[in-house]
Amino acid sequence: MNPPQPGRSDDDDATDQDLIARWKAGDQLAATALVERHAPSLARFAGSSGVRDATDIDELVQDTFVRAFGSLDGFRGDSSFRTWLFTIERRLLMDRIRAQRRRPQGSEIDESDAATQFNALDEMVADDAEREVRAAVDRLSPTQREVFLLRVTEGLSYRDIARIAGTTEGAARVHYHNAMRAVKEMLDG
Amino acid sequence: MGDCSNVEMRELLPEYLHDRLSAAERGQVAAHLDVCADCRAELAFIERAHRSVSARVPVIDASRVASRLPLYRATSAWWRRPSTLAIAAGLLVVVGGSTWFWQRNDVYVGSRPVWPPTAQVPNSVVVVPAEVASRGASTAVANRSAKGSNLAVSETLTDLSDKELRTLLEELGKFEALTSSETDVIAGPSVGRRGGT
Repeated sequence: MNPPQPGRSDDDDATDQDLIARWKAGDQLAATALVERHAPSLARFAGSSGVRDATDIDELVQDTFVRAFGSLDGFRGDSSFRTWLFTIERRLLMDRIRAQRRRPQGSEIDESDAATQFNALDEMVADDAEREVRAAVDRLSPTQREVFLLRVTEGLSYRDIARIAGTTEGAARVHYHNAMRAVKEMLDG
Repeated sequence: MGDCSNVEMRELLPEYLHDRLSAAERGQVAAHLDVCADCRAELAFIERAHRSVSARVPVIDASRVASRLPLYRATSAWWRRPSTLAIAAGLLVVVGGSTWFWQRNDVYVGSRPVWPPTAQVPNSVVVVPAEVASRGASTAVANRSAKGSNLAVSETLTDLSDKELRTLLEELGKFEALTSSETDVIAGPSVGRRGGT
């Protein structure tokens, strides 16, 4: 059972709500503040979900915010603002994957590839240990990887992860623990 | 590294790393980490995975992204909602249709006319000479002629000629008194207009 999270995340949500209200009142700096706050998480999620090119990650994050701010009246506050952004980004990511599958040549996004391909610069500067972890995470199934990343990189609750991934809390918990065990075995083995 | 048997504490480690716990919960986890090597190893692994995954992520230019955001346009104004417009359109149809219906039909409550709201009583019966009723466009509603009179009741509001009017007045003059039921039969406005009595 997930413990309640009344503390910092609620404060974050309250602050997000303040910024949203200010943006609705015409304060564009409030939008910038919201982007600054949440863009890194969205970028991590995109990068970890198989979007390799930095330009594509940037574009996906941009599209997510444009979609979100264009339908902000639809944000009811049932979840945190970040969770809502993740939900939008995930939907856009799925659309990209479907579009990529329809193209016969090339594969811009590979959600199920066992081996991750980094560009040459990444290969030169990346720490070996970090590269090993990334390779292990990339070997997870798409759902396991999604749940694992949202839990590890964002610290989201199973409830929020379930909402983003369109699954149940129980399933999210199982996916996370299976993913954790698999990554540890790959690193140990 | 093994798994700590305290599942509740293990489940809190990702939130602990990202500072998503309440002060009380944070204190509990910190106290547990002091005594549990397995959870410290687990937390270190989570931290390592977080660092590794985040390393290849580009930095987003927030100002540039924000500059491309749409301006806020309120969509929740009640009068803009499609459902509100649909309801308004429906009400317009109902009101318009009702008005059209009422204008084309006389509405009565019981025997009292309520529409149109004028003193005129449409379709009023008119006492006319029998020969007039017989050749009227409308069929005679009833023949309530008094004994020995040539009067009849007709639905028609056809104007009477001078001769017919004189006949009508002569016949009316034969009545000593009219009963209450007979006074319900109204001599139409054409009698008075022709300068009747």
